[in-house]
Amino acid sequence: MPNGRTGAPDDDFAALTASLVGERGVEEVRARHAEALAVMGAPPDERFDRLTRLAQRVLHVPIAGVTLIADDLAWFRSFQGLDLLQMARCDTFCDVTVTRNAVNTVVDATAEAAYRNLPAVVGETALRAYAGIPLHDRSGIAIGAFCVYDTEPREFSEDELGTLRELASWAETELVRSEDVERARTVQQALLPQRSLEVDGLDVAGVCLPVGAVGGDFFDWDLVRGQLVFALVDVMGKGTAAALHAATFRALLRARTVDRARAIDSWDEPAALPRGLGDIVRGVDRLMRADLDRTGSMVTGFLARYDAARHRLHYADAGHGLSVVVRAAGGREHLVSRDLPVGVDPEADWSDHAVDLGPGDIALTFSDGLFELLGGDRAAFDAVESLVRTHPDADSLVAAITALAAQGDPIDDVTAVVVRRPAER
Amino acid sequence: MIDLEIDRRDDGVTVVRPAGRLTMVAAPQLTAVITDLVAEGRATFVVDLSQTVFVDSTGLGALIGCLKRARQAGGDLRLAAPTDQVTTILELTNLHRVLRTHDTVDEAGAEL
Repeated sequence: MPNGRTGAPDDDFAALTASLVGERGVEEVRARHAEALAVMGAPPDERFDRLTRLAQRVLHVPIAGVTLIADDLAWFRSFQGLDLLQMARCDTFCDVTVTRNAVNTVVDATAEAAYRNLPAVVGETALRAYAGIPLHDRSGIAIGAFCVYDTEPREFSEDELGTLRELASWAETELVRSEDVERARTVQQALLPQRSLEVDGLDVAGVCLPVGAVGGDFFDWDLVRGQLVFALVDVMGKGTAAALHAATFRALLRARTVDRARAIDSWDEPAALPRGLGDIVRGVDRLMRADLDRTGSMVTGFLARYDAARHRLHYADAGHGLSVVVRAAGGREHLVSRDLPVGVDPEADWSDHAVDLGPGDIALTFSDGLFELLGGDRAAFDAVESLVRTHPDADSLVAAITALAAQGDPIDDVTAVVVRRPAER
Repeated sequence: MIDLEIDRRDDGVTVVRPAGRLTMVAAPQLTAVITDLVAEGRATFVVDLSQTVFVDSTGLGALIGCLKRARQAGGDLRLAAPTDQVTTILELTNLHRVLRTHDTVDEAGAEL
């Protein structure tokens, strides 16, 4: 089979990994990668499209693409000259390339037993020539191929294969990066409350839409000593750097809240008031300040708990300033403090505040991503109020904010938490 | 790249004027400029925000970082002539309590 294999197996480490994992294991790895990459039905990706367009032009071929192999299927992540999303794995040239884990060229498919009966060869597409370079994940397992096709028999020169290798290694880098980023996104989204909450006389909903795959915003809630405690936090900046601080902040906030609750029998104890929430923020600040200092970062946030018996919302605000109560009877209140963001001033302290919720009142805290979407000035609070009034329950308000973020092309993460005291029946 | 004008005044005050948007893109530049100026021996700064049309949280963080650097060097940092958007952000975050603002560069300089 002179045309079957022109390149050497990619590298020893890849071969070693594959042999250690074993063939069955490799298949599982491929399937998990395909899921992690969220390629199933994912829209074509411009990063790969550029590379496949380039391959098409430089190698003078009608078809070029990136194929990912998972289970029994081949997924076409980016294809020029062919309008297909997936195909049975065994019907593809790339299956051979991936299984062999080696550069694979075919001069004339009709002359080779392994390819002459493939649907793309006998069918309308009538493919004849093929060149494919295996693509590997971080651990060196072949998970797909960068490939070009011609409808006329042809050979590929060493020079052309060199170009193809370059393009493939570029695609591989992108693949590994997107896999990493997708995993990070999955983890960060999993750290958020997963569904709306109906507690003790309160409807609660939230949303966090990072502008990139991950971001510095998060929200959190839990029932602590019988009361709903919730927070919205915004780490300065965006992206992975902010996300690292966000994960730390969330963990410390949870730990300090539990510590605080453990120290008291109920939130009614004098010890819990008047500085219950402010103390929690101060505790987090003291623990995080060195990290934030070293990286030149800071964090704004809103922390609250709801006393259902008294219909009273207690809160502390760390330079967040973007929280309101919209009154069912008309008007709104801006929930403010004079307290700084976390990580700014070693002497800083945080105070406790409270506001009563009447029947049908809605409290909304949101991040500056939404603030900027709504104009980024004081008038944005009017826009927030009318948004609340036109969507008077927690879930529909969150859905409206999500839709707004989808249309508005936000420049920063959009996050919001809504709590509503139902109107009395 | 943001346009950053630097004026080393004879009274020891350094005026830094960032023009445009002070965001994730430009903020590190401002921090680097102030860091260099501190290394040069300058410690009192006025950041003239009259030409700064927009500041996001990263921009605020950079201003705080610059304030810390100036204080560590035994000096201080004041803001001058912020636009409405910048004033709103400073007030909402309560950072106007540490980042003192003045109507003009001269007023800010006189306080240093």
